[in-house]
Amino acid sequence: MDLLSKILVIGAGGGFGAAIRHMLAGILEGGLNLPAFAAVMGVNVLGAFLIGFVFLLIETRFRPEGNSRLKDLPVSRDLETLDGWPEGDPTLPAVDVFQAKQSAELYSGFFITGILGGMTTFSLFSLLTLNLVQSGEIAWAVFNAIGTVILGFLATQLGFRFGCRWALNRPNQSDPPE
Amino acid sequence: MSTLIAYLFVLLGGAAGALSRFGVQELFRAFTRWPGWVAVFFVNVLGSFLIGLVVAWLQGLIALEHSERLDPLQLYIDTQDADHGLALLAAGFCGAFTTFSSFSLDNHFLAKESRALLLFNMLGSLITCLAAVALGWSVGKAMAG
Repeated sequence: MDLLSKILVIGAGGGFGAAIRHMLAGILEGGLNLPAFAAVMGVNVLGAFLIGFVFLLIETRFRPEGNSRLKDLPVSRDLETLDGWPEGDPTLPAVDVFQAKQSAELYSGFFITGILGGMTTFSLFSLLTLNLVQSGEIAWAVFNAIGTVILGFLATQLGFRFGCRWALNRPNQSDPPE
Repeated sequence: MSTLIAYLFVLLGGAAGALSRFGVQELFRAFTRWPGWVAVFFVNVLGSFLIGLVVAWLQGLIALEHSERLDPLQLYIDTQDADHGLALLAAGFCGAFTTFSSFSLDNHFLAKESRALLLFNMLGSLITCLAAVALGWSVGKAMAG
């Protein structure tokens, strides 16, 4: 993808992502009466789950030339029944490979760098932790700091697992049928 | 502040923030040989510093005006300006400039690569970002006077 398209896609995704965070955090804070740090924690952990899921789908669907970044991960064992995984299909026409590469860049730019990158945030998390420290609620500050990082890490793993299931149930559609 | 305007500011700030993050990542890729998670680490620290600075500065300005007993209309206008600034710069720009999802994804890969790097990224990001936001906060307070 050319630079201008990337800028457009990431800018649009980032803007919507930030607006989605604003809305979700508002709902969690206003609707469920959660404190601000818990609302941001919820959005961050949700985003961490989604990035695992989306990343796995992109890396299984749009890598027909076999350079998936999942190759060396433990999850790649689960995916071995997928067509052409992980070596790729050498008989595929160059146009199809190019198209898949473009799709991978488009989806990863819009959903991962844009929407999920804009939706999740480290700065608000830091700021709200600082505010907890400033108001003397040290226990909540520690809970927020450690809890967000650990839950986010686990959520990403869960996202990968869900993505694996999804990918296996719906084999690569970019491969032409025999 | 009307909700629509708030969302517009967050949306605009978010677009600029996500693009700046992409720019920093591309610069790191072009000029260094460091792995991708280093760029995310750097972006998160820088964004944490900026959000501390912006929030402490704008909130400090408004608190100062409250204490100076300006006329109510002027105070209302200035408070609204500060709220717009917070939506654009804090919730929008800094919020989207930094990222938690990429950080978690990097941790997922680092866990496979080495325990030491995983711990370094997790604890290092936490400690550095908290220090950065505290530093930004004190700078912002000083700026507000």
